[in-house]
Amino acid sequence: MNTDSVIKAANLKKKFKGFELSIPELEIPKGFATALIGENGAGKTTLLNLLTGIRLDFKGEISYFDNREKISAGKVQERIGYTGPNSFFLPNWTVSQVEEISELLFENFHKDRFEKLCEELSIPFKVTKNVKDLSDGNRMKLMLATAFARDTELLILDEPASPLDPLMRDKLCDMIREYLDQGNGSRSVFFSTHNIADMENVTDYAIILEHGNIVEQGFVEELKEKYVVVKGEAEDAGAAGKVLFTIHKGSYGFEGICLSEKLDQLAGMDVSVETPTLSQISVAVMKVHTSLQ
Amino acid sequence: MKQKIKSYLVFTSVLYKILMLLVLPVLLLGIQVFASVVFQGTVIPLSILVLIFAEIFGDTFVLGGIQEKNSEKMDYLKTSPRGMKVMKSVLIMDLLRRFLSCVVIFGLLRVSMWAFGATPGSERLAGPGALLLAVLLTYTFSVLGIFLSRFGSLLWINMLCAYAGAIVGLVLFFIGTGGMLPLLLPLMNTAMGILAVGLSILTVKIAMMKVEGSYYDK
Amino acid sequence: MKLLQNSGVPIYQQIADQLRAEILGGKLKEGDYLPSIRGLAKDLKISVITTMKAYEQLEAEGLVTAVQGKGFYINAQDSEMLKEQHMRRVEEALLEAIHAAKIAGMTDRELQETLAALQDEKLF
Repeated sequence: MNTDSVIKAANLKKKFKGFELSIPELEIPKGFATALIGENGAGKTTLLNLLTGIRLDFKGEISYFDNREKISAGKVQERIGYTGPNSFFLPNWTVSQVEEISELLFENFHKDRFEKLCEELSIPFKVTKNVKDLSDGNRMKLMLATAFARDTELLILDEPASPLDPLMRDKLCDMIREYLDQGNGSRSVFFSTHNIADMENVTDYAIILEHGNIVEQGFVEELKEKYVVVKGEAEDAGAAGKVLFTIHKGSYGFEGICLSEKLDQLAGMDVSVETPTLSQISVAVMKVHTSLQ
Repeated sequence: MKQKIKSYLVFTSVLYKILMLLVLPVLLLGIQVFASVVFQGTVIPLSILVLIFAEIFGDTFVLGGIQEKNSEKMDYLKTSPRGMKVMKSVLIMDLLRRFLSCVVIFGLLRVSMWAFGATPGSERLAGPGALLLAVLLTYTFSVLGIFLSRFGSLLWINMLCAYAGAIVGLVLFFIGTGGMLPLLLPLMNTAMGILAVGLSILTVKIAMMKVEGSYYDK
Repeated sequence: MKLLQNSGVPIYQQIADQLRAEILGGKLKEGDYLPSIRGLAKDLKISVITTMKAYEQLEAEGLVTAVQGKGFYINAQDSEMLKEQHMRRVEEALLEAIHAAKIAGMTDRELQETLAALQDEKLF
């Protein structure tokens, strides 16, 4: 599928002790929600930090939006909303201070929208509670409120779903869809998650990261055609195991995932096939690449 | 300038502003009026002690830990194109506010001593040189205390700085106003003045270096 | 629009099927626009790409046309094309039946007799 991209990056490299993020090419499609999937320690936060401009020590080129602007050129950050995985406000700020500081930091921050969001997400706004006294869930909601209260063109959300309860996760998905709808193709979302099942219904494009490398990526509907879930009889498990990425053997039969194009190698076996979910694809791809075996 | 003041006001909580800008000055002034009326005394030494302690202790709730290594709590500022500018404004205005607080509070104490009377002993602690020393000592030791305690966010370290700063400040005030050596007071004022300027610059520079350094690996 | 999560029919297929039925049934008229891709995704609580795929399928079938920046509008459904559409679906269904018959070990004749019997019952 041919689409514009909201972020383009080339030859990204960032080294830590015993870890290297290395991405020769990265394109985040414009107008869609893109998920960055990977285990803990795969390098998701590092990548997002490079993209939001809160980490500047890396090699490579990153450009943003239609005019391929650089982050140092000033206004790029104004157009990006971000939520972080950790405490991202000063711990002693109160919720109302966060509101005023946001207004100071971003021209496109709307106080009324922020207050409405606080109410919708039931963030204790009236109480002069410090950020450090908020629960993890409430702190994430507060970060989301600051990001969604701005007129941005790109949201970069680092593990937004993890601290939220199931109801709030559903609400977050709704908020992302509404954000994309209001942009009518001009707004994009890029979020990371280690549990894609919660966000599957809002993911258009998926990037799977392992040990600092992109091991698979594509539009979800295309990935669902590329891979296939295969189920078969126990006696065929041995032969099928050579073709399948992952296989789970039981006494009644086997189940696994393989590339659709390899399906004809299973000819002659009594197998049934079905479309995989994005979670199944992610787990299979990660199992192939992970060192934890 | 307006933007800078706003940055500072936004960074400090309502409670902090009420305590530091209203309660503390009014309280000290009240005690001074009481002392003047009852025994023509002065609360200038007490004010040095209380102010240094309060300024250092109060800072934990505003910029505490800002010079810490791990400054991911600054990430929100770093995602704004104006973040660093705002940060710098806050650091400068914070010092300016502390200095103005010292000037205004000690000025008011002096005025109320005139208004309600003071013994010669009290006057010795509130002459022009002594008053200047009170302002400079209070400011310098407040800044020294916050500068040291901002490297961490442990409350007990901050408390230690607050106690030590207050006591050392007070002792130096008594030495300076004791009249042991004729030129001691002007010498101390000059030294404190230089120290105040140097520490102020250092406090802003180091904090900015730490925050800006968090864009890179240390 | 009703979407079944675990029916085995892909979501995009369900959307395409239901919109097709509405177009062919005349509920959506020539020149009308389909709901915006992202708007429909929001309403149905699904991803944008899924809606897009459904719309692209309808476009491939010639039922709608994409206009850059405006969305998808419904084409004139001339009777010749409609018939072709329907015939294609009949062929697909019959092929499936033939395949099933082979697995069941039915002869061609048995299959034809089944078809005739069903037609007699006027189930459809």
